[in-house]
Amino acid sequence: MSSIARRYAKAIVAVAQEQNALEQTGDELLLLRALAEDPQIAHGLANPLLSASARRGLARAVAEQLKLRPIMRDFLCLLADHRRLDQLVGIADAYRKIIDEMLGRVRATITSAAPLTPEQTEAVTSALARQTGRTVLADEQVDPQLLGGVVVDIEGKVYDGSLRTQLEALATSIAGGWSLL
Amino acid sequence: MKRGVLVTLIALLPAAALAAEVAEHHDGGHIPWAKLVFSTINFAIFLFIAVKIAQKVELTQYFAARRLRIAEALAHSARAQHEAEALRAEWQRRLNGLGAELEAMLKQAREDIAAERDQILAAARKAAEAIRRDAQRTAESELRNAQQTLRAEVAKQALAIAERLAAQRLTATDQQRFVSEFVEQVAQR
Repeated sequence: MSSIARRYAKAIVAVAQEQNALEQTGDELLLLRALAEDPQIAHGLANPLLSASARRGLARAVAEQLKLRPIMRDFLCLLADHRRLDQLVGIADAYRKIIDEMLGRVRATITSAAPLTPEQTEAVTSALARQTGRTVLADEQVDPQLLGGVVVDIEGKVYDGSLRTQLEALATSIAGGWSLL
Repeated sequence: MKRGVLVTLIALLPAAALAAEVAEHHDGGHIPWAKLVFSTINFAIFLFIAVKIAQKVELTQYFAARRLRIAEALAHSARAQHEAEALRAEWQRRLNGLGAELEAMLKQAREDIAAERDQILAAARKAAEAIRRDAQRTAESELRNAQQTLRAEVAKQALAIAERLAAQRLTATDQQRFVSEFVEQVAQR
């Protein structure tokens, strides 16, 4: 995440806060982020040969297609004027991080061997919330390779409670610390 | 002797010639025989002395040189004889001491061989010990490696079996237990 993206993210956060539309702005930025992640669109947005009017026209077209609010349309045009459309992904990530910090939230990826029941998810997120002191926004994934248990990734910090990891640790212990590969 | 007579005759020839010349120049006069004889005798004496002196000088030099050569040859012979005597004495001494010298040489050779044999044996023992130690180390290392490989293989097989059994036999209850244990672990951190 570049400092440029963080600077633009702070600017849109301030505007969204004034309009009391932090979540809505965040959702629209996620839409733009998904669009900008497409390689062809990313190439078009970063094309240095586009004229200023062409870039602005492109930004307006995108805004209309996604039915963005005027504030987001104007923000998109601003990025087009400053040749910063290629920073959309970074801006969306920075925005989400800033908002999460402001609202005392943390995002966690919970990966389990089998789909978790709502009670299990609640138990896990509650435990993580107590551990981090923040509200946990969980993104659940299923990976049968884990065999059993769960693995949680909170901003790079991993809590591994999977059966696979335990079995591998046991096997490594049996092997006397030697790699099993 | 013949040469002396011949020289005398040749020496007298000028006197005869002088006498004839005087006779021709003095017509009817008498020949001064006394003067002629005296001159001839005088000249013969002179000639005799001159020849003798010359002969004496030559002979003296010849004999002196010859005496010197003979003396040198005698000295050389004496030296050669002395050296030959000394050489003979030396060889005689060596021949007399040859037995003892051979015995000493044999003794020294036996001692040298024994010392060399001891050195070779010591080096061989040292090398053998080093080889034995290396072999033991290699064997121990290979044994450890084999043990580790075996343990790793056993662990790998055990892991594969455990994974297969887990996939087959784990139930929702087991998953619930895993989740509960995870929650407890997170809470304990």
